[in-house]
Amino acid sequence: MQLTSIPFLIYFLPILLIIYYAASFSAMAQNGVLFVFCLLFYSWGDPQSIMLLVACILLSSVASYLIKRMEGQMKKIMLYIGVGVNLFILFATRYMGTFLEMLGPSLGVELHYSVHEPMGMLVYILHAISYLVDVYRGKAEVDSPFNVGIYIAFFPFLSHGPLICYRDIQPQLRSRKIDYRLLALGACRLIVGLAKLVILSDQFSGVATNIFNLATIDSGEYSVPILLSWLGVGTFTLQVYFEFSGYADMAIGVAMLLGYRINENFNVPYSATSIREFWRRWEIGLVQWSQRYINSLFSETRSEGEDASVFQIFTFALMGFWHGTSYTFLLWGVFNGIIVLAESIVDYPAKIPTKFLKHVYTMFLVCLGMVMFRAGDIYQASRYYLDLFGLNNNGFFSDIALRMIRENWIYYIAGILFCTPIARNLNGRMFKDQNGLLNQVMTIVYPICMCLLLGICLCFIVVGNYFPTL
Amino acid sequence: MKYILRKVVFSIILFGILLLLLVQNAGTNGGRMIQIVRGTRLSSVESIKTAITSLEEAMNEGFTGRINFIELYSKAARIFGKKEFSDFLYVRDEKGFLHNTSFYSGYDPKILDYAIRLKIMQEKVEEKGGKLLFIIPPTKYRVGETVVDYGLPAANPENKISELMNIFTDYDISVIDFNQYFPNQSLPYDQCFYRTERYWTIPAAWMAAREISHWMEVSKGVRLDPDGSKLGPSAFDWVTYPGKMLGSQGLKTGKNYIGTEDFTALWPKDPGLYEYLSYLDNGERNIVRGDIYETLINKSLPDTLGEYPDMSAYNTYLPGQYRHSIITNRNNFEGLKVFMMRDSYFSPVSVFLAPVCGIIDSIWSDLEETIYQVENYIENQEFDFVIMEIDPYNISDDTFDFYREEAEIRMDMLGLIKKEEKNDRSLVL
Repeated sequence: MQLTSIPFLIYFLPILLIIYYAASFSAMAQNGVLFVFCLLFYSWGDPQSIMLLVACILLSSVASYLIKRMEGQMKKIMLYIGVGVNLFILFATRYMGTFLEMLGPSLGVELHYSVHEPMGMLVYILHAISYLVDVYRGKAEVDSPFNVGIYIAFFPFLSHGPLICYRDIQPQLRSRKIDYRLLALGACRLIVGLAKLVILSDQFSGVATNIFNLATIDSGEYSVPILLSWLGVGTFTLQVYFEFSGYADMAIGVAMLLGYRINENFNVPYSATSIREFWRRWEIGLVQWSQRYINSLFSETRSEGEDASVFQIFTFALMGFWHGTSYTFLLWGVFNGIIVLAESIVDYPAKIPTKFLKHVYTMFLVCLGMVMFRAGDIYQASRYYLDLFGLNNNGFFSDIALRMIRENWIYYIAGILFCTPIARNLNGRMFKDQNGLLNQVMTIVYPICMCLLLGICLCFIVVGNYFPTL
Repeated sequence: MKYILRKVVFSIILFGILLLLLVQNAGTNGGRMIQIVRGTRLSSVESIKTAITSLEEAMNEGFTGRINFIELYSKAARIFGKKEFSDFLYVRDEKGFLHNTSFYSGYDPKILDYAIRLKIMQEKVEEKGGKLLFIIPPTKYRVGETVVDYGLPAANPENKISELMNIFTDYDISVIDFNQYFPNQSLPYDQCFYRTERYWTIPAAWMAAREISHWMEVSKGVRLDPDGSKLGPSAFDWVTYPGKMLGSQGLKTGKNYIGTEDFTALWPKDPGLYEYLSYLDNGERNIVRGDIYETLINKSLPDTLGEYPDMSAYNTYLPGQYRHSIITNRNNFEGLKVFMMRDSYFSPVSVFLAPVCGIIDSIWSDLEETIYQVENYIENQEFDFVIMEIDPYNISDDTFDFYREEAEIRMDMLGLIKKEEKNDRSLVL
């Protein structure tokens, strides 16, 4: 079930909220309702894999109990077993195919491996690992399988995250206070996320997909002109941001409606002035998870005097793999890791005089990285890079590019506006000046605009689902 | 405080809207959904998956006010002057006709394969005394006729068709390319195609049926309609229904974007006597017997379409999309036995040909969904004619899904298979 679908928005969510609020007399009853709905959500999307999810919850619960009970070396062994089993399942179902594909050429054969990847597996396995490690390190208490189940299978996060560390959410799993402010903020956040996804991201996706598909054909007669290729990568950069942040907003919004306060996952990343800063603003949950469970592991195992840069690049590579199973994601991660490392070596921020140039530099590299993120393989990525710089026997001008801008100008304006801090700053100013005219007007206009936004979202969803056939 | 106040106001409205939509939609679709749940076997994962898909369909299709939302989107697209619709799904030309899109319509390297597969089929059909005919209906995009604004990637399959026809003709396969017939003096472009539908108009389909009937007559040396009482112009009442046509493309874009158009129907004067057997997706059979209006034509459909049609009037002729259907002319049991691989272009054509044939046995030409091995089906029966018709926008491997192995062997013998394909070493785990 997609968070942006009619079944979720019109049936699942309202029914969940009604029953959840009706059970507000007891935190345990609410947790029970939430757990059942998490399983229901999962079963709806991937009924054949529900037992694997339940097994993961039970395994994590049992392993955490044993970790807590044991001491010394046995405790560590128990942790390794718990984490190892989770990682093995993840590798076998998600990454084995890519691994064999990469291994094949060196053996002189083409290796195929295909197995059904359970829905949301990456998120729930990483959540399970977080739980086990936090218990091992004493950062969190052993919890009931119910609460662990809610954390691992929390449905808003299953498809795209954000990743949450167990230690951050454990207090809320046990008790939480729902007040009208939280509900109001959650409702608005939900609709903003929905709008980002169904209006902006979907629209950008259509444009970017067409251009990238066109670029896969070949060079020469069918090569993509420079203007079109830059439009493609620029549009894809916008698409990725609105897709990821849209899902994060919806997930955070739903969590708020259920009384949970979740940390932000994006902080206007395209306003960054360096790649290092970009990664402080981009997928904050993923970065934090990596720092806590991968970086710290390296720090523990690294011997004194050993260079940390390799570990840093390895962490970025793993973060790349979070986004997909193709090795192009791994390369995207490595690319970012190298840039971050290079920036720290050459003391980058001091080298470029103006903030504007720093923005240009950052967005240029982000866009270059996005080519690797989007391309199906290295060959396609290399063709696209050649297109971008006019090295593929391609021209500059493209009437298709102009047409795409002409047809989608309103989405581009909205996209550029909402991926920069302009809207947020405006909101902040209004909030500061409580009695200002703008604030007064917004109090009336805001609910109307949000209702309109909801209506527009429903239009996009309905049109997207409508396939009249003969 | 005001910052929160406006959010609180909106959240109250949102909860109200969600509750209202839940009650309304559950009320409308509840019955259908309960039926689906009752018919599900919980012991089977496949059954559960099918039930979930059906439930999602019921929720989406039965969404309250669906048409209003589509029309609102449609209106907005019109206001913004958009010439493409829904991520370049369709583009609108200068005359207001909707066209399919394609960012790339290049050379299809498998056309030779298709020719060889069809040639083998022709040989098999001729072994049994039958004839094979390959038909391409006309494309809505016409060079010289269709004008689109700069950068709009309207799909133009002309080159692919021309190459296909050349190779098929080289292989001595009988072909009719209706791009050569339409538009013509008696049926100009805007009467040949709908603005809102990808298929041809009913009068164009009728003219095509006459042409096919003529080809059959010449091929078999028989007279199918000597006095013109079955296919001639005087055999039909021509009735135009103003503003009743919103084709499948128009239904997707909404009426506000593209508007409706007139629908001209040809009602046969002789009702005849027919049997129409269709196989449903679940394998069940459905048989109707009676005159042409009880079996093949839904004459009341144009009258039932409202201001915002929710169905294309094109469905008047042989409604539905069945993987397999058989029309039997009960007044002409000894008539010609025809097998067709077809799509919606041929729904009206089948109806017009029914009076001059004995049996028209049809399967959908996108064979991916077909339960039959078309080779076995043709070889185990005797047909006077086998007609293959494909949508010019849908020339693909799926539509030529027959005699693959035989074709490969023949191509191998002719040295037409690429070496690297043969040397492909792959290990499937």
